[in-house]
Amino acid sequence: MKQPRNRHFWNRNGRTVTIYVFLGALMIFVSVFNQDFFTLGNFKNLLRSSFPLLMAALGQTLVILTGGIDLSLGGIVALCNVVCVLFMNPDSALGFVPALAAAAVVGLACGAFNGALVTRGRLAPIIVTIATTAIFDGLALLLMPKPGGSVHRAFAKFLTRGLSGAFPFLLFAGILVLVRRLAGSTPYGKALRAIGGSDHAAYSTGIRVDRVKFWAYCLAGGLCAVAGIFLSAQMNSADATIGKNYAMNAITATVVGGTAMTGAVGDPLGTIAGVFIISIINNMLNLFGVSSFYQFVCQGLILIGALSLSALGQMPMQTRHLARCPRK
Amino acid sequence: MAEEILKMVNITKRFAGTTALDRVQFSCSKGEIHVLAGENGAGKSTILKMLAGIHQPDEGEIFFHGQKVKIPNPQQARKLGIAMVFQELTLVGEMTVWENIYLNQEPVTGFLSGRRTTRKHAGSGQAPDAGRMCREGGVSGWARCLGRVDKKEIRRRIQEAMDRYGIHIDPDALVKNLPVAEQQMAEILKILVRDPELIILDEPTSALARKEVRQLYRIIRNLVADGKTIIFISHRMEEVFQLGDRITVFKDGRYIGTRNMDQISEDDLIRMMVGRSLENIFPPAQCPVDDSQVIFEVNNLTEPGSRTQGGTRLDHVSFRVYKGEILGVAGLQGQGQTELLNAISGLHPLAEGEILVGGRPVKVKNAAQAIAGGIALVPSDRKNQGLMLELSCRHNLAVASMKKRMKGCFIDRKAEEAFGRSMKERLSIKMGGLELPVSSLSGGNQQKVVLGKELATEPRVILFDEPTRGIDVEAKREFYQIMRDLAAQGVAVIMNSSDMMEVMGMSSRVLVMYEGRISGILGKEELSEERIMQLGMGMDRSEKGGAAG
Amino acid sequence: MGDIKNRQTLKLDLIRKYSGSSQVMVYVILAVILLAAQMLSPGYLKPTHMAGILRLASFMGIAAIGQNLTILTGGIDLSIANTITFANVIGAQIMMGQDARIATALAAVLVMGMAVGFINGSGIHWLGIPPFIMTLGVGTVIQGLFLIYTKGAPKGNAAPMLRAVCGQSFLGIVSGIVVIWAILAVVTMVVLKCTPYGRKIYSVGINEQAARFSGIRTGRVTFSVYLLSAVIAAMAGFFLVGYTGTSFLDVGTSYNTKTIAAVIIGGTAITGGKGGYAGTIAGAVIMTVLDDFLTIVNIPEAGRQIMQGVIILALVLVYSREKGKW
Repeated sequence: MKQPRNRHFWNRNGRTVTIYVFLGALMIFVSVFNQDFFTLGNFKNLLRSSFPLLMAALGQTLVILTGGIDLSLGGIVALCNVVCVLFMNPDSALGFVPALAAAAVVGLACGAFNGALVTRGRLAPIIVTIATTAIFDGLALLLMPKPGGSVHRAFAKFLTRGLSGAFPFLLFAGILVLVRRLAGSTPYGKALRAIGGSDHAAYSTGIRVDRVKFWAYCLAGGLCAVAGIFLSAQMNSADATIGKNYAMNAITATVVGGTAMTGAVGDPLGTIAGVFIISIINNMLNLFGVSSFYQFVCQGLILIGALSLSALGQMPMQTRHLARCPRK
Repeated sequence: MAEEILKMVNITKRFAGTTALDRVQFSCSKGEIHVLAGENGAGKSTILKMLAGIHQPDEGEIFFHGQKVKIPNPQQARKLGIAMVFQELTLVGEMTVWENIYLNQEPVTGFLSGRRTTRKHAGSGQAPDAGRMCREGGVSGWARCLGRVDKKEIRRRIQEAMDRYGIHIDPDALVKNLPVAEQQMAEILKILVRDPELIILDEPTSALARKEVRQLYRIIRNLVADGKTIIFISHRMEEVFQLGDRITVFKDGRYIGTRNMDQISEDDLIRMMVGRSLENIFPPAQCPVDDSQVIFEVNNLTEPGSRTQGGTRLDHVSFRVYKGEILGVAGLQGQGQTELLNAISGLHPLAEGEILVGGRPVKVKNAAQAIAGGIALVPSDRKNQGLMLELSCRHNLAVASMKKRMKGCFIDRKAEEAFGRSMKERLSIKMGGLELPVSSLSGGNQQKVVLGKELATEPRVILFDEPTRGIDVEAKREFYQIMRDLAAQGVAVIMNSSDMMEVMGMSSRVLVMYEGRISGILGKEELSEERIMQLGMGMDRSEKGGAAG
Repeated sequence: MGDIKNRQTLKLDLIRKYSGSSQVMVYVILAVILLAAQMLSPGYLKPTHMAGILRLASFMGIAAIGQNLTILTGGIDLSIANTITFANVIGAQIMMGQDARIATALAAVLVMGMAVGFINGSGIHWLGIPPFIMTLGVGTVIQGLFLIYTKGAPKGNAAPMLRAVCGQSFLGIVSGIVVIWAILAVVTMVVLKCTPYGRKIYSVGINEQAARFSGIRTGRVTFSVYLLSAVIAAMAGFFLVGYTGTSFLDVGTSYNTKTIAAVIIGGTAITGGKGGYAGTIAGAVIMTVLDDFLTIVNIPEAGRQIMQGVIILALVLVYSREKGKW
């Protein structure tokens, strides 16, 4: 059963490579219509506008790798956004510190709440996060019924455009490397995937399944806090309804990026490509003057299309009932 | 006698409705190979899973090295140095072999920095043991969880271990792409690298071909030579006598006795395991087989395999069943027996071939068509495939034949209750009431509900897949009687079983499968355990054509 | 995992003990809530007020029929909210306030519902996509479609006849929509309890594999349930035009959470196979009463939303502490 090494590389990274090829093709396609596409300024813009979704999608990827799902990410983003602005003191020099701390704590706490309900409560993640979405959204709305507030100027400027625009990129790259390393080549990441593949097998191997899952939800919450903070800086205000489409988009990006909804298989790097594909398509629609309403249709179709493709890829000649792991 | 490493006293375990273990004891000494034997459902796996931290005893005590211990989870079992190879594999199909083998056990270097925090072993002739490495390196808990998995080191150690034990598996292959036998070896390797003191093997050979079985024996002897203790669950006589130093027998959740291997004969052992001689369990056939009348025929049944595993799951399977006959199906685990039964019952829509019931072709693209064509299946896994555990006995009994008791568009509730009661009488199912959930019944009675459900469809062909797995002897006998009755009534009965005694005791002919093909069909006169084993190992394929006719 | 399994069997025992009665329990809870409301706000139980509550509850109750079916098979339908809105805007725009156009509008709405259900069912059955994500994706597409259809500004209004059926009460108590709800409810309960189709739904929800082994065409059952769910949601959206008079773009938004809450409060296990519609009726009324009462005591929309989330969590914790099958 010896197989050539490159076959293994393809087994492991085939999906990610495919998605980047697609992303590249899409970029070239867009650049035909938009002369300015391959400019630094455009990339800066693209990154800035995608940044919050990138964070949420990375969080979603971690959760989906365990075989779970978090529909409340949008709620957490909105809540962190609101909390961040509420704790912000635009006038004092270090007025952003308590805001950062508060948003981080809230994000982690929300994630921990989800995680505890899923692991301790032994509830299905989907129903837990549908319910907590209502709670987080509601809390955000309660704290800030109307969009508003103001943000520490220097802080916002540094976060979104600091180091002549390099700061958001550095922040993003740093977080991506950390998350990818965590999910890919740490014992924690292996455990994460093992649980997604078979929580029974993981448990028998001595992995503390509940603990690993719990932290995946916490990390997702933490990443959403980063998204919420960035949004505050970007908009210079807070909006309790900002998170509406994040959960959906984060799932779409993750699925497009090649992560299997059943868990175990996936790469945060692919998710990133997924986010950029969504952002670029949206930009393209804007460019063509298509009404933003079409974006919903487009996103829904992308999600369904990606799901269908991955479903078809998994069952070439078999019905899905037979496509399960042997001896299980 | 050497030091007693493990002692379990008065262990009792109850699962909803049934007592799986009733005040049993078990002990073994350091450095021995101790066989735990018993029929299906005797409680062998249950007691050993307590040592692995999977089950907890309801009552009783466990002593390890003379000290009373509690093993609430697998982590504790690992700490004590106990490892178990489970019957159902604990590998993650989506991960590679090396990831699986060192899962939760990975040697690490520092997070991001790439700094090595584990010391490299100087001598590489040593058995690889990641646990010790990690402890030596002083990396634990958080730091370990976030460290960088040292892939190179893992590969080196796996290569070492494979060389040492003579196992050859591609460490970079995804587990789901490996054949079952290699998965089993990977599972064993996964235990070995943990360097445990006490190793429990739960029927490890059931999926292995002869060559791999020999390899496994060699590995086990090596381990004993290294001073490890082995507990081995088996019901293959040959293997019990070849390997074991001592044997403990369980029956129906009770402790029967422990013997030294050299003081016991095969007959004694069978008597201990079964509790009576074979003739009394298997009722005699009521009528002779009429081989002029073919009541069921399968021609060239073929099913393609999955893309990743390749090959075929079923390869031109053809056979006939005569009137009054029980046809046994045997072979090593996973050679296509279950697939054959499922394909005939319409559960594998991709299978192609001709199926004739009473001479008339039946189309079986789904289970509903098969049932309409008079084919019924009593599946092997009654909890997942046979029953809706939380629904009532009435619902379960009626579900496959609802259309037979209709009043207009609605289900005739009265007729259904009458039907339920009659089925209860006919199969003497012991239940608290028709409306209670079927999960409240004991294993044997649950299996009878499955059978009742299938009988209600008035089948002309009935397929039994491991019909007596996990049920007590009394229920087994009733089951055998029902099979005989059905055969006498002219129903074609086909039974797949991994229990050799059952196959030999019940069948008039035995169909042996190997790699999705029929490797031979043995008539009554040439039926022997040895012949079945030979054919099951894929030898003797030349006779296929003649025997299948 | 064995220990967990043990805990689960113990829990299963508990569920078994209570699940038979949880459909009764929910009516007791309803009574307690109504009495509490009456005490805190005298006059709450006035017949006219209760008629209003029932009328309001009927839309949620009708939409919850579909949700109940999908949850009973172990799935979930997250496209209900947007289907309702889409039906609402289509209905209003075609009707344009004329009785003569009601039939056309209803037909258009039903066709739309069938199309949505067909797509949901196909993805879930043929491609094996998890229900929640399939319906989420389809829901997003529908959202785009109704935005495009209305160009962001819905037009049209209800025909007088529809308004009479859905908005007004005869004799101050019973309104047409409540009667329609009652009929649909009876049909649902009879189908679930007394027909092979109902049995099949429960069988698939409890154990799909065993159902398949028993000769049930599980794919068809799954498919039909999503088809029905979308058609029923479309009907609910259509009737909502009659209630509000015109159409809104967020008329359906809260219905995903609300229908799920109603079904769960009604004692249907989120894991499928257990429960029924009888409890869901009370669940819909409870959700409406709480919503209404919190409005009376001046709790903002946000607070009511939080309450919905808390109620769902509390009840799934009580009823079905097991893993779902998504």
